[in-house]
Amino acid sequence: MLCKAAIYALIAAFALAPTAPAFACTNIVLKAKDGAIVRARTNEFAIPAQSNVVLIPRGTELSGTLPDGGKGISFTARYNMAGANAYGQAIIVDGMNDQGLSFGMLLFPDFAEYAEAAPDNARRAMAPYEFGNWVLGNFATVDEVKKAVEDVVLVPTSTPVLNEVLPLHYAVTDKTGKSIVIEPVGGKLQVHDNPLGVLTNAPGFDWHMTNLRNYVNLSVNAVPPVELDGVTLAQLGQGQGMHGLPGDFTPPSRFIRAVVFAHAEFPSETAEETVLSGFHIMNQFDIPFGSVRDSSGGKTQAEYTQWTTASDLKNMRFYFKTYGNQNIYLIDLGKAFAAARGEVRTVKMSTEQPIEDLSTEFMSGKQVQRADQ
Amino acid sequence: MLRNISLAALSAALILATTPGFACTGISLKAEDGAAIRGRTLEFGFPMQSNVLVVPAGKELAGTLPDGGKGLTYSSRYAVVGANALGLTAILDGLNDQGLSVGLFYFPGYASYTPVTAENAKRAIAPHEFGLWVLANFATVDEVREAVKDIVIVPTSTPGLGGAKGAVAGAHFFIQDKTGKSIAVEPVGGTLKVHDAPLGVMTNAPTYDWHMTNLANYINLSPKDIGEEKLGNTTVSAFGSGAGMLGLPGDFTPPSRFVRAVMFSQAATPNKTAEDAVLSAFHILNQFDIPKGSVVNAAVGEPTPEITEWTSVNDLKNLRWYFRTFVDQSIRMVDLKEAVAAAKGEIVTIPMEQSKQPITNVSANVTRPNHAAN
Repeated sequence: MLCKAAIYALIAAFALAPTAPAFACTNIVLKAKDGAIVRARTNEFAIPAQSNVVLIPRGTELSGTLPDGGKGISFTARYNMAGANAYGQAIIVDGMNDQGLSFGMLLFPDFAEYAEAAPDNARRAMAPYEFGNWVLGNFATVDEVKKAVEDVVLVPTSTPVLNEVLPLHYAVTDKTGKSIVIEPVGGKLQVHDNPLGVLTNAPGFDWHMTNLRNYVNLSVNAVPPVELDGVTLAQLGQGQGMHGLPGDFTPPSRFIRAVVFAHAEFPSETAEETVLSGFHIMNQFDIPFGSVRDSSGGKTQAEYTQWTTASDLKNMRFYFKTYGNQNIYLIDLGKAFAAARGEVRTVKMSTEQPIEDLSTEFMSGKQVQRADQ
Repeated sequence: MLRNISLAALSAALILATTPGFACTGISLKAEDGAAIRGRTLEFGFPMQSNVLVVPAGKELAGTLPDGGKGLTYSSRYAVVGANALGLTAILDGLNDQGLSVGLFYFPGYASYTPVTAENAKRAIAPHEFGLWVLANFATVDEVREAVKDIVIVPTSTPGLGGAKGAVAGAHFFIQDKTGKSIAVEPVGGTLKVHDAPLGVMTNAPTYDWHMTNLANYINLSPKDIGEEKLGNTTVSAFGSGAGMLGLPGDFTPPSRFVRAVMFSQAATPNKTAEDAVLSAFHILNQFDIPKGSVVNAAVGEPTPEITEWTSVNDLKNLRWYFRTFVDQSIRMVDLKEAVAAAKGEIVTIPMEQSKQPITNVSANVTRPNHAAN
């Protein structure tokens, strides 16, 4: 029997909680001219996930959790891993390890189907929210992950604090740029190659890839004027080649936009420039507060982008910004793990916007002249 | 005879330089404390080299005629802060000490200016000089509405626009006062047409009334989620939140940006204070931060990506002009009163783009987790 983590189940479970989660994420992958791979994503949630960056050093003993609270798979982390957590847990929602492997969990409502926990699979079982730690704690490349997922099962264990089984699917990218999507369907972990590097939410990944064919008409280029019986019709402004691009925030529409923006990007020279480009692209998925409202829990909540991350898989840096603080912060894995000294540690993700006051930073006469030239 | 600044004319004039493809988006929010907040993006095919210009009251200013002669002359009544372009004493976007604000937006193919004559030369200004004239002279939208009847905008080139020779900028203008009252001023048929702009949104071509009528095509849109639909025995449910906005256009043409700007600013949950609303405005304007490469201008020469050069937000209550730039996405601010006091009666500039993106390295800020081990 399969456990279907449907939206209905979520609603029921949240009747006792203050709010219902509605969580829409957008994932892209960019490549710099110097070969560096940058994976970026947004994370949306209607209730604050209280995320911070968690550092989990190699050598940490980790284990899977069964639905009854028992212990599932046990392993020792082989790699240092860092990423955004939720609710104070040592759980990576989005992050990377010191081998340049990068991982993100994204909500997959109505479609995630986990395996039933049984005595014969308990030793290779873990909760859906623990999958990121297992991936980043054990593997260096996408090929290794692809192989290893055959040996584990995801069982319907509730997420701490939320007390609910979260329906999830996963994006994994390595430092060569190879990307896969892993979806728990029919109790098994299905692996899809993800050559375009994009992932959003429901429905299944293969549906989204086929849906792209509906948009092959789109182009970044201007459209030349058309003449009809002596009437000339010219575009009203730049960008006409993209007419038909869907602008809403449903998962299929975000998938199309993410593919278009990530692949239209003029490649940057270096990893750092690509990270900044990634943040510009992710601005398109920074849901304006109030424009997406979820009322499934009986109370209307605005769904908003709580944080945006970019992982530089060449230089082993994890960048982030938050809804409250749109400035960009970074964690250098080497430095952070040196400071953590082998312990699980967190680094605060600031949510207060610093604003630089330039009111009296006048240019000198010389500079003004230069501007005049 | 009117001079029609058509796209074709612009292309011809700028044939040696980059063709400007200028797409700007303006929005307005109102905070619960009554503060009117107006924000906008600025896109252009080549660097506008904008800086923040501080113009104190009491400055002698003049309009420029197409032949370089002096047009309208006036002494500024109010202190002004805002972004200039190309080293000019001009305001593309800014506010004055009365809480009046103005934004210049590109209006290709539609802007048509008044031909200069001996009779109108004394009340004539160039398109790029309109913003400073508005802010230097008036306190409210109603005053501007009356005053535009007395001036003409003549087809004077903007020095440095599109190349050393300059070009006539096809522009229209958005004006808002501290009560939130807004108008769009459009040079059409050689006169300045004033449109009420109650939704506080502005983009580019075509004319303002066309955009407002076009909104009727989108009254089906809603920020609310859609539950499930029963079709016979089949239940169809949405994939995720946001299905109420299905049909919202996602491209960057001016009509599509107008519709999105109206939806996002109208759907915005009210903010308590002016500063909260400023930050919300930056979040909304993120939607108009054109990804580099998604809009490519290949009309002349090498294909160039159109990018959002800068984004600004005016706080008309506290008289602050906030901005960020393509290179540096951090939010910076100029307080009008402080800047004007420090300027000591001189026109001064504050650089907008001095450095690269500051990124704070927090690698060593490690702390013991709160509940990480439970």
